[in-house]
Amino acid sequence: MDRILSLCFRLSLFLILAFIALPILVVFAASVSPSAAISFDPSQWTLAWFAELADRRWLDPFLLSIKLAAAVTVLSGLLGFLAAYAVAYQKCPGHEAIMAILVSPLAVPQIVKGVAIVLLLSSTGFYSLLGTPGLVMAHIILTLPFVVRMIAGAMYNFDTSLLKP
Amino acid sequence: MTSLETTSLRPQPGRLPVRLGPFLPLAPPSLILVFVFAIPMGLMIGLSFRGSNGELATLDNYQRFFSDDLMLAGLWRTALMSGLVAVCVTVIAYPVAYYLARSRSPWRTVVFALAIAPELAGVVLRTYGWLVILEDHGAINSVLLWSGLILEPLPLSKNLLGVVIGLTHVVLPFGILSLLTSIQGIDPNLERAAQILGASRLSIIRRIILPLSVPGIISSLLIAFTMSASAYATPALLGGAGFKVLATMVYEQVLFYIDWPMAAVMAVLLLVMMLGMALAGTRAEARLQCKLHI
Repeated sequence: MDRILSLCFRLSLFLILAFIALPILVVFAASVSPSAAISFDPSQWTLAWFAELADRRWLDPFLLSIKLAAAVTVLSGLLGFLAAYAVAYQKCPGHEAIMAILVSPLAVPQIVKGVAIVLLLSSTGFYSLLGTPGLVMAHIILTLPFVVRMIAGAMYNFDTSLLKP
Repeated sequence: MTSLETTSLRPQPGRLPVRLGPFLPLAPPSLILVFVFAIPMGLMIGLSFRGSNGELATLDNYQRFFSDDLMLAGLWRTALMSGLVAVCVTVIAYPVAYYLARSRSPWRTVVFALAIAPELAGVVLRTYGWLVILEDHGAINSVLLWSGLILEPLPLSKNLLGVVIGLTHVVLPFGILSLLTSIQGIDPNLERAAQILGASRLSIIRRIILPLSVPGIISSLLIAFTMSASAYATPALLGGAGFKVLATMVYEQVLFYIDWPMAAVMAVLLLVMMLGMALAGTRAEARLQCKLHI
């Protein structure tokens, strides 16, 4: 009985891991498929789609993604560090409540935050910020809670007695 | 240490009684949090109560939502989809989390990496992968048609089934992680003791592991529900044009109908639904934890 159970357990584990890996493997397969439509034919393959990446049509969004990611990483990292420093290292008065406020954007669905930010940028004369600056700001809000939480987690464990003369 | 600090930094004449120093680093992050999060959220909630003739506080928009059958259907569809995903994720994540919590085999690291790594690939990429698999001309249907088992493609995408499969995949790592922490907290000696006393594997799982991991089960259900209720890309890609949930409806109101107050109403309803679930979940978890300690 126990042996059957253990076998079932192993089998289900294997199936679940296959379920997890499947769509990612399929995307690789689709990227070397010769047809433009979504299709599945393992007998033919090509790298032509990767050559198309050099086209401006695809290159520009790709570069924008990288620029956006780089800018957000730097800014969110800096802001998150400052916040975590005040909350976890200096333990400013009310640091627990402040921490809760800093991670509160996590409780709001992304689509709701997105609509709210577009509403602000398009309604009250912040038109010039729509586009890349708006994207950067919105992504800072998305990532800041994670950054604060991670840096604060590391800072809570600092041994401050090391800094005393 | 604290006493030393308070004596050396005693407020001096001419200085502010409250020291602002510790709060200074908070200024830049607070600024962006207020400007890009608090103010927009306030504006949006305010807009949902704005009337068409300029009234500031009216429930007209909400009435418009609740008297529209299509919109109500979207609300129920959101709840149904999120509930199904929550159950699927928790059931599928449980064996993986149990294995990761208890196994000492060298394969553990591999399984852990496999279980968590998809999260790095992004939602759109994984959903696209499912589209390739589930579409009418996709992998499953091609193989089944070719083998002659079916004559018409099975409806695997452009419906609730496809979305639930895709979302389950997207949310699964979070379910695994929340169950893992909970199962790791169970003393392995309990299982050993039960085994020595002659309990079968099945009754150990049923009478020890499952009851003690209920807090983990609840947090897995909760995180899966809230993540699916607010998911946009997966329902939009795998659900097809007719599959409307709150997240895709909000987008539609903004982009096609340019009905901002209605978009705000939907966003507020989504927020209320999620916060309500989170509150119910944490309360249930706290109550159960009390019970378990007695």
